[in-house]
Amino acid sequence: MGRKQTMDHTALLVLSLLSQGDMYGYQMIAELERQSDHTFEMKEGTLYPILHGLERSGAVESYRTQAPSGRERKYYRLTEKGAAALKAEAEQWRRYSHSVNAVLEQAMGLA
Amino acid sequence: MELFETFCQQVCREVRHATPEERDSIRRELRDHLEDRAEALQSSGSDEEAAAQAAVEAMGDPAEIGRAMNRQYPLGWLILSRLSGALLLLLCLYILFTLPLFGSAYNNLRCRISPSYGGRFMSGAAPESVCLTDYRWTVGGSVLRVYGLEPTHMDANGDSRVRVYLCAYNRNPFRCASESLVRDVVFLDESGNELERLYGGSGNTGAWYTTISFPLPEGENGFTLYYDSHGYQLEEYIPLPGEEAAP
Amino acid sequence: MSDHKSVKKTELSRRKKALRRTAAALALVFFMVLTNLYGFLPIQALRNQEDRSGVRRTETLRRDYLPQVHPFTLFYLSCNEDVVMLTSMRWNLLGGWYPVYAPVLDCDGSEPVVIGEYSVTYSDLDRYIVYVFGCVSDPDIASLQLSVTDLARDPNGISDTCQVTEFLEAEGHRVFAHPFLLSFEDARERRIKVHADTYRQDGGWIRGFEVPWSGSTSMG
Repeated sequence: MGRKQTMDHTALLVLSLLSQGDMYGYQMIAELERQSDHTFEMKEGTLYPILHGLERSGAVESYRTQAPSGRERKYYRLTEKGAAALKAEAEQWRRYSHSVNAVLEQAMGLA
Repeated sequence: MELFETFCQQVCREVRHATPEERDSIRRELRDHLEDRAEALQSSGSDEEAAAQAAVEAMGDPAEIGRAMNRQYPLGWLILSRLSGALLLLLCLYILFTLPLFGSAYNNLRCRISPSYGGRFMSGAAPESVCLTDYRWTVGGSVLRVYGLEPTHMDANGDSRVRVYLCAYNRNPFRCASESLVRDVVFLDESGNELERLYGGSGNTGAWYTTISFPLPEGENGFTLYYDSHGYQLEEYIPLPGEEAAP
Repeated sequence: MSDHKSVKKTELSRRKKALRRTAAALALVFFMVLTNLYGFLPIQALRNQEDRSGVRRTETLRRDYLPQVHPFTLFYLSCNEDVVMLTSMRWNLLGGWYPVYAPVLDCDGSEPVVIGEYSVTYSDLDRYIVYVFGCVSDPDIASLQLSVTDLARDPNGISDTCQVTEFLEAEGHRVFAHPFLLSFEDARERRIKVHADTYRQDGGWIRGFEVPWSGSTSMG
């Protein structure tokens, strides 16, 4: 059984989103809702401390530029360090959830 | 939108150790998000007021967000930055206030280059009876200099004395010159006897200046300058300026 | 689409800012030490006094801090090949440590023992310091007895006494110093005399003499 991830799962989702392209905060929320078929819900404000934390650890970089809407927004970009962290954490998560699923299936089978 | 401002304010209140620029950036980002959410809600039918309210609610608890944000802005390097900044300011203010002190370095250099300006001859022009000379001796870090000789100076009693104009400066213009040089120097006649001297007092404007007068025995045309103090020795014969030089 | 107008890493910029400022502050301190603008440390005052007295660089032997007399004064006993020097220095917010006065004794070995007496009074206190210091060149001399007499109070008595058996060794000299802390009722009546007696190793008395006055300072 793999160990539980060291990174908050929301942070992992943010990194994976950014691996698809640079985004700003609101855009990420919208994308998360869309990609998870509106099953993923979170308090939108809690995204920002996570983003600032990722920036502090060097996993992402931020810059201000014009969004498609015409207004200026703070965009985030995945760094090489972030990409490497994403790869490692994703692998960790896959292994962990695989182990959990395996155990659950056993239990379901018996029940 | 005032509602948005209040929300941002509440979040930022929990972030204790952030610079005004950092706080501004957070506020801006949150406000942008609220505006985007409110706009999206408006386009799907809500009115402005309701959309704004819903947007703020969707964000979550501002205090909780603020606390989570605060954890990303620890005191850490900021404290060093602030301390160093304060020290830097104090030092700069101090240097500004004591700029006149550099005047002593200036005077020190003047003594080195043209002592007549810094010494007894304030206007720079020596009286006619004084002969400008340039004798220098290095004693440790300081330099003793004789910059003027007056072979026939009349003292209060009407006797004729030799008057010597001396100054001492430090080779490093920022450091003090040796006071001992102008105070302990003595003058000897040709037989080696110490001549009774009238010490003219010394002053310091970064460099020490003094004038010393003494009676020279009849027929002698020079004297010996002698200094022996605290491990340094100096001895040199100085001839009086000739007839052509003095009036 | 990526328009990297301002890539700012909060943590890194904070660290860089902190280090930059610290480096600037240290550079400024260094500049101020070089140009002798501020006496951050007492040793700077000692070096300044060496320049002013016209002595070569001295080695510090002893530092005396006597807060019971005055909190912002220090006394440095130092010597080099030629002299023994006692420097009194004060600290001021503007200027830092600065030398006040330093009696200098020539210690070239021509005399068996050279002693000086330096008194420091403080105008707002009734206590004062009589610093007796010197150097011994004669190897026969093993110890000294110093006694202070307050002539105004009791001309024949002894106010305080001290036995000097240990010496500080440096630059080929045997140096000693002892600060006497005295008190008196009336500052204007103060007149003191210091007497020194030298003794051999076996306790035999060699000679006694009055210690010459080397200077006084009145600190406000």
